[in-house]
Amino acid sequence: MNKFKLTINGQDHAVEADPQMPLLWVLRDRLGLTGSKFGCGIGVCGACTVRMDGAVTRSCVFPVSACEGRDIRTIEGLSEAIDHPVQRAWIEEQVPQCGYCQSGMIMAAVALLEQNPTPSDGDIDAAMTNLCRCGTYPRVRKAIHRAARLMAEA
Amino acid sequence: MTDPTPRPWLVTRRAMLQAAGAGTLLAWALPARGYGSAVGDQDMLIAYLGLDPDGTVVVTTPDAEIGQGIYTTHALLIAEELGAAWDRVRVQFSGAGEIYRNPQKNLQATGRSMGTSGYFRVLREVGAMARGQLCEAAAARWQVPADECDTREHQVVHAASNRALDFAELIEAAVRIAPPSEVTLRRPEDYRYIGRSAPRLEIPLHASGRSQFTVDIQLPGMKVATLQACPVFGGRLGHFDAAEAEGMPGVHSVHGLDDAVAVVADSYWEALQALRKVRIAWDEGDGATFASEEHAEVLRTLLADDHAEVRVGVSAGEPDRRLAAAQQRLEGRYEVPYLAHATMEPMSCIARVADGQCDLWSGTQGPMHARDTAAARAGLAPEQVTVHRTFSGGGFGRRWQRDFIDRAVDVATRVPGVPVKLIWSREEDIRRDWYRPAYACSFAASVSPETGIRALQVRLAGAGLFELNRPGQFAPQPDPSVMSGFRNHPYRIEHLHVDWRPIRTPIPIGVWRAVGNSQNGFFLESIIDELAHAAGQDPYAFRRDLIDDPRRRKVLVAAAEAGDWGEPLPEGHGRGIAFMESYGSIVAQVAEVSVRDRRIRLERITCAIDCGTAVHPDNVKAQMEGGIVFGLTAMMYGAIDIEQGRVRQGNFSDYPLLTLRDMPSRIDTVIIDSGEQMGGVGEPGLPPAAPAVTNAIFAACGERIRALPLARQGWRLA
Repeated sequence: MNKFKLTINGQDHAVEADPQMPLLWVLRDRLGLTGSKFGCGIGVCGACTVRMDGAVTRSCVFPVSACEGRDIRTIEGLSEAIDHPVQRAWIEEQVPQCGYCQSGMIMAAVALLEQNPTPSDGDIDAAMTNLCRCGTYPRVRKAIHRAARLMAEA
Repeated sequence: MTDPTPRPWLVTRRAMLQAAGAGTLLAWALPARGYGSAVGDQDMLIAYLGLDPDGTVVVTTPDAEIGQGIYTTHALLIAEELGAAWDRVRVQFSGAGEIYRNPQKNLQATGRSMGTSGYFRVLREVGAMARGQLCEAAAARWQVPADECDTREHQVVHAASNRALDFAELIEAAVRIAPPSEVTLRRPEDYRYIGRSAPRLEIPLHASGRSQFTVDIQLPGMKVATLQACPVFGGRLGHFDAAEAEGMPGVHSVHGLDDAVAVVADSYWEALQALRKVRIAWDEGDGATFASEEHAEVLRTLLADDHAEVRVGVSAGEPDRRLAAAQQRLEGRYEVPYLAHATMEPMSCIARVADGQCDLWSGTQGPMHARDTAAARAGLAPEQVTVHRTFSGGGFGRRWQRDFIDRAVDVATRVPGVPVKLIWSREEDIRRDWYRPAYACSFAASVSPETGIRALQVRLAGAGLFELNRPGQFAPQPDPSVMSGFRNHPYRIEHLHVDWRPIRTPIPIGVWRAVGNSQNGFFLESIIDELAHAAGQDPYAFRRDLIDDPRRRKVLVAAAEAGDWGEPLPEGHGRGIAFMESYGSIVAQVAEVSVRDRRIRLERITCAIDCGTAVHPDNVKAQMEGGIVFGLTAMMYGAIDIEQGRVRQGNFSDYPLLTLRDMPSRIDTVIIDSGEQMGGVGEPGLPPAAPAVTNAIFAACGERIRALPLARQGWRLA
């Protein structure tokens, strides 16, 4: 076990873990931040998506030893009042069904919109590779366009 | 976490009962309205509805929230009658209990798309009972007749004197009033919630990561476990060596179960690392010889075997004689493979066993049998088990099974007093599922442009999932899962024969979204399409002219019109149509695809549904979208292969799902509010999806798809 200092949603945390322990399980089982989900364990489904120094990161395959000194952002840090433009768009478009993949979807969408404030359908298709078993994809696409408008108005 | 803790309504009632005389007690014992012999109205009220001192309405849903939106639908049924303001309504999950049985099936179970229709009357009556109490409390204060009062936006209002009181101000008095023995439900023209689309209450939770699924629950002293089951179905644990694993960091203990090894640790990842170091010898049993490819061959043989066990599901007219006499016979064979559910949240359950008590935390679709199976495993009585329900990260029938409950209880009984959160890896989840069974179907038919379908003979071969444990249970009738869609098809076919050739399988099979309809929709609607083309007719017009019932024809016509059937299309594009009635709802879909070099693009899908009354129209649309995507994932990719008794697939890398980029540019849903008997929406969107698309592929390029998934036939999504 090694000690690691992590900065998550602007707050410092000290954790003890094996250096290879993926960030997802540090978040979930060490720190109780359960918004990021476990879906596949191999970085394919995206339910565990967080942002690291702004970049979309599949935390289930990202070792904690590579996280020190990085700015880690999870769904918990997005907003207190559930009013980030992407969350507002998600609510207005009534996107989630079972909800399990949605934290990861939202984090991926936030990253996309920061890099590309007016994404086309093609841009969304290319960026949003997260899996959803309930089939919310058509609404995810609509919500990203809506979030882009909300952010432009702000 | 939600917990079935009684709300203050119950607390207040209990205090009141203590103070009450015998006469008052009798007043509580109101006649039951058929919810169960021992259940009175007051009990129903307490079970489903509470009011916090600040007036917050707390609705208890008896169903699992697996993505179907029942969390909101149940709340709005109560809010409708109670006259609640939507922003002052909260929902919690019920535990397991007879009082929560769905009146339509006399069982507390989330399935068969019955969550809305089953509780439609009960929950409105509960809301109306509480409204009666609140109105009476206000009427007493105002000295006016109670029947002059009504509720609206969380207030009791007396229109004649222009007075209003918030629910919060009336609770204390209202709970001392017996609920009315007769209630009058609101008229449809007065609905404020039913038929409108109030924002779904669970969505802000999901959009903020605050909704708690089983895997998210945290309890004091809790450990996390994962497991490896015997890779061969029916196999057992032989022996295992956990010496290395037990010494690994974070590991609490290693346990041998009947057919699995589980590691209990501080975190899932530590448990998983240790599990990989356990040396396990399995007693694989007879199952290790099974191969799904051979199974598929056996199904093909059965279709042509005159000596096979045959159970007839539909027998009308003389199709055999007519086929024998036909100048032209049309024949074909269809096949579908085993399918896994692959819910996004892998199987999971938390169990704590101690001091003659078992607590479960689970997103189970069957809380009563979860309770009962936990009791049996832990050597307890059912009343010693408490089921705490959580959000479910997808269900689709998978969380109806008991295995993930059993395994958690088995581990928890070995570490008494410790809450154990057992999370399956994705690989375990896919390899130890209760699969949609593989099926084969053959048909022989004769058509003519003048008389439509002259004769149709259909044979189905596969395993019956409801008689899995008792083969022949329903003989001479087919297994109830087998004839879906063939008995209730809408078409005028005078000479029709449909039979089933059962086979036993060592592979666990179970309910999978839309159950038998999931394959039969593909079979029947592909066959109908083949017959239309053979008769030289437009597939839409052919169907329409064969449907006599106006309600069903209207749905087909609505889909065709909204889907621009008949409008010119670019080169390489095609449209297909399919119809399927399931779970009491009638659905038709039109798909438009483009095809080039075996690459398909889903261009547009249009859906029409008549579910009687659309209680929450936007959610009906969401469920149609979800059912379509689920059905098309199966059409494109879904296949579970078994070799030497082992499932070959193990994760989303080899059991892929459709992604956002595969979506058509539009999925539109038209809702037809017929006001007829209410049907479900969670499943009925799925069955027509695959055949609508494969029929469109035929229209686009002339190739008839007779086996799924398409990826196996060399097709790709563009």
